Amino acid sequence: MSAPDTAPAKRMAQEPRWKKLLKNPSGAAGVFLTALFVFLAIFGSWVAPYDPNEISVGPPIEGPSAEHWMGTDELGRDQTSRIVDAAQIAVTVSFLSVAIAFVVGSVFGIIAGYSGGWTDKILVRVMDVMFSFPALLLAIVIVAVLGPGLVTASIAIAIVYTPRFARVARGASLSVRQDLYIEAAKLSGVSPFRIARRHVIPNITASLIVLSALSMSTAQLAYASLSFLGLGTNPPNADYGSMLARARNFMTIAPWMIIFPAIALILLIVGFNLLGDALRDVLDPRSETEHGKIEGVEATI
Amino acid sequence: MIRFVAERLIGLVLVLFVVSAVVFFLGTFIPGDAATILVGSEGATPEQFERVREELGLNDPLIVQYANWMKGVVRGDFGTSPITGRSVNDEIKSQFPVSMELTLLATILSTVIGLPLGIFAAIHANRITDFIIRTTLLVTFSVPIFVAGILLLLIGSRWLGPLYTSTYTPISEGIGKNLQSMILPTLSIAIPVSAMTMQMTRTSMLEMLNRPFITTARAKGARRRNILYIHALKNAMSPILTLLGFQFGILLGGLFVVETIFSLPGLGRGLLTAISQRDYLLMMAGTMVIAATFVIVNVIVDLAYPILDPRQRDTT
Repeated sequence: MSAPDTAPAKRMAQEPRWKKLLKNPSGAAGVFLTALFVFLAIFGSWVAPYDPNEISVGPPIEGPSAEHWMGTDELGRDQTSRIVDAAQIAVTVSFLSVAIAFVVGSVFGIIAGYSGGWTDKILVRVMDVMFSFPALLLAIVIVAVLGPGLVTASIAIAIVYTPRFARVARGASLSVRQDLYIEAAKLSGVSPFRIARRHVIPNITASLIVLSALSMSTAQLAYASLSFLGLGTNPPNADYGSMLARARNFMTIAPWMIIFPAIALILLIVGFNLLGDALRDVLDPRSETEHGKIEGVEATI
Repeated sequence: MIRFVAERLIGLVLVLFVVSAVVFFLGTFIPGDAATILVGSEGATPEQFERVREELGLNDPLIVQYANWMKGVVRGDFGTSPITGRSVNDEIKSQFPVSMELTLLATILSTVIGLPLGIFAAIHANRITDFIIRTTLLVTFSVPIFVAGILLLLIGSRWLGPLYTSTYTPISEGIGKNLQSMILPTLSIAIPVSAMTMQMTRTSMLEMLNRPFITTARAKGARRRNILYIHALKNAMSPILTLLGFQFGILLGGLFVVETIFSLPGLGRGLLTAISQRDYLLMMAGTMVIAATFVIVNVIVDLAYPILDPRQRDTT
């Protein structure tokens, strides 16, 4: 254990993780793109050249110009401002839905994996049923029940994603449960709650963080689809999906109304994907194994 | 083996039963009911309203409503829509083939694109090709299906000329015309999905090519083509197969947006219309059919493992 030649290797491994993340070119690109959209989400109203919802700031349906870099829409609203403004909703939905799924899914997953027995069996069955719906179908039905809107769409996406987090948390805590140090903690009379908090949770956070980052991109994909189908935020709020849905009617005369929001949306999803991939490389040592890679691909779906 | 198949089939029936309950009770939570839509919210007396509710059985306890509905469903009868007055079965029968054709074409196309490209990427794994492939893949599967659809529609209407039609032609009016109207919808689903197939094939093949048995085969002087397709690909198939099951869910999800964009009269668009019209019977039937298809395909995928992998025949 104290062999001298292992010391440098140990120090190498302790290089801060964020440094490793930024050294990786795709990780750096992911961090940059995500940071850009988070920045636009917070400071968008200062960056945007016009009020995103004000009509007739320019002539309707006009191509890109010096005053309106990305052109104007059918109501003469400035597209640049609307695309910047839409970042707020997009980022909020991604974070909100993944945060809810993360918390609810991990709690259920840890309880199921750690306690085993009947609790586990019931939770696994419930998850199986939720997995038997195609994701978007379940989200659409839930939004139909709750009514369209930013929060309800986030909740719908969160419900769809909760079983994924539960599955990863359950799997991870199942394997941790059999480790010797847990046995030792139990024998020395540590309460189950404390064991969960001190031993189980720290050991499964890495996989859950990786899953979160990858889920941000799929959550965004799902939300954009909901919004495109008219189940997202209510007008006049700018939203990539609904902007594209309306732009479809002016497709032949105003392709810029489609191209710019499409590019923004794709960049945001690419950013989340790059960040997730890089985080997996940095945080999850299993990612080199067959299992980890398959897990990763499943997660991106 | 027989036990394995029997277990899966019983599991399938149980899941479908629970799915039907979930669908039914979620349906009842949707605000506004058929009576409100039928009578109209203005100008109707409460008596008229009550009478319609009574006729539709909406005043019965939920359990009774569910039992009545299930009685029909197990006999394959989804009832008659009070909104359109048409048989729900007929609606589903006309929508199902459209959606299935689209899903099938998209599955075939994405596999035809993704599988060979994935094998190619695995064989030519080096830093530069790897970088190009990984970047292309990442961008491709970051494109939402509906964005792919709109962009293809844009390209189609501007430049594709004769290849492009904006209206759906059923198979009965000629398979050529039908396929012509399906090209763009199929592509918009197949492009993002083929990126996933390619990614999975590449990873799975790379994993296999590094295994000792490949080295042994090579040392024995087996042909390169045999090593790739018989030794490696066959063993690499089971994760790819798992992915196909998962992808089916994405394909079915893609139906909603693609059928909306290209005005195809399929299950996805039908379900959205049913939801907006509060046509519960049609909504429940559509949801059931889509979920059931998904579950059945995944059971088939499960059953295909032992065929591909002899090791799984005895253990399961």
